[in-house]
Amino acid sequence: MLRKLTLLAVLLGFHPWQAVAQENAALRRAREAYGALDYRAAIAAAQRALGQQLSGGELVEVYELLGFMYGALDSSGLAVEAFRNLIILDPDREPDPGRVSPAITSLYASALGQVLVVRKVGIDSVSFVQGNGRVPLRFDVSQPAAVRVRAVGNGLDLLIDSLSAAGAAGVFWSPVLEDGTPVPPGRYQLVVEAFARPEQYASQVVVEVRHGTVDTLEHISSLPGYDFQDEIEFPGRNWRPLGLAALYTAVASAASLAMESSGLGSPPREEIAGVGAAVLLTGFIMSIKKPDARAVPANIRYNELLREQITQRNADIARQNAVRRRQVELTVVPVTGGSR
Amino acid sequence: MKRTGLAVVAVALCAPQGILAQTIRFNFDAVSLTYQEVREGRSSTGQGGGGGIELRVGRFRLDARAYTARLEPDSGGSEYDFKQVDVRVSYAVNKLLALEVGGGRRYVDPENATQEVGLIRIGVLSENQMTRLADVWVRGAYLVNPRFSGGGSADLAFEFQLGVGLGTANKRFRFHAEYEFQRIDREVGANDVPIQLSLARVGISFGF
Repeated sequence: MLRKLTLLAVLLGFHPWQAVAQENAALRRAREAYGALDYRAAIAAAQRALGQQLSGGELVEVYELLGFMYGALDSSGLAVEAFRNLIILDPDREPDPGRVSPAITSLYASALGQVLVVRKVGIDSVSFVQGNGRVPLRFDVSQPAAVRVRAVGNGLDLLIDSLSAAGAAGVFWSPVLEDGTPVPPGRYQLVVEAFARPEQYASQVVVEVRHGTVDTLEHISSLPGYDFQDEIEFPGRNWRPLGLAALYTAVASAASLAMESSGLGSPPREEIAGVGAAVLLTGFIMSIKKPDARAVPANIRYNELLREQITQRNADIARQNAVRRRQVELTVVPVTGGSR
Repeated sequence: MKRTGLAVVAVALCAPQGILAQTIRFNFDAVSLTYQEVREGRSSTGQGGGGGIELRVGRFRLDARAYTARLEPDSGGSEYDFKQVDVRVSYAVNKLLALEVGGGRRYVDPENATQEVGLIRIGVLSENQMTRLADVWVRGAYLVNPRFSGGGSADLAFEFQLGVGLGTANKRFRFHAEYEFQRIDREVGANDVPIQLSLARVGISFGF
């Protein structure tokens, strides 16, 4: 089992015996003494470590331990000095207020006020259509200073903004060139430089700019909340045809009876009876048959207006899509951060 | 009569296309009629056929109808041919009512079988669409100063008609049935010799 773990560590490039061999012994002793609350022994070991060759991370840890231990021993000046060195080496490393005493936090803050650094430089991933968005860049300046922010990369050196800042601040980067075209895709350093004579400090974050195509809009066939109305309707069955037939037949029959010539006697009535029956039968059939569909002018007009609206919207969408096809969707993601 | 009918058809067929822009309809009819005259009991009945043309342009409408029937006197005697030509021109005052003027000519063969009549009519027509497929109409007219082959005059003469049509929605084919009543109070000297006609007509028409 152990062999397998060792083999896996080798394959992953991790060499535990080398790491143990490379770790500074004085730093290890200082860490152990600090854990055992033997601050004086820990300080002595840390001071010895400072006299030896240390990696950047070890140096940062030594100064942090010294700050903590001098703070615990109420050696404020030495603690602030240790924290100043720590801040200069790694501005973003700060004591966890939940784990260290407020006195130490206060000493760290005091040290921070004595050096000029730009900390917590960062952006969030953002994606937008060219010209319709910006990249928010945030940072923290430890002292009041003149700040200049630049984007450097791909042969470009673009001034993003310059301002006076103290504490948390931020600028927006619009990743386009002067002619409005987007910056070429690739990696850019967003460099934040702070100037407070005689000091100056610079920190950066590396971002990657990607180009993408802008999604086009789909054409619409309806408007939400507006439905097409039926342009024809079937009216309810009614007896108007039979009524009309009866009326006309009655008029004709009455006229026929009233206007017969008395001198000629009663004429045969087969003709009026036959035609009158045909009229009434036609009226009856027209009354009981399914009524004809009839147009609904209001609905026709409504549908015309709706179609006009949809046509206009689709024309707008077509115009927007033509623009969108020429546009670029910019995606900016942070890669790394750093300072100098 | 034949010449008149031909003239009507010729006018309809040769008219400029713009005039025919709306509707032209050709009718083919079967008729049954009762013809009474002079006194009670003197009547003739018979059947026949006819045809006509109807032309509608805007508010105007032209009706030209003709029919012929073989009548047999009820009291015995010789049969005779009874022929009638009617022309009516109407102008629609509104959707339901139209004013109508026209003329008519009646021929008989042999000539002395009964009266030949010529008349001018002034009247009204009321047509009502029951549905898209069917319509019903009545018309009434005063007959102005009718002329008779045997002489005489008529102070009172009128006619009216009841009709119904049923056809396709596109108006191309249509069945129709009509009843027509005509009374002419003819006087010759001091004698009343009235004429009364009662006619039923059924037929089919083709429209374009």
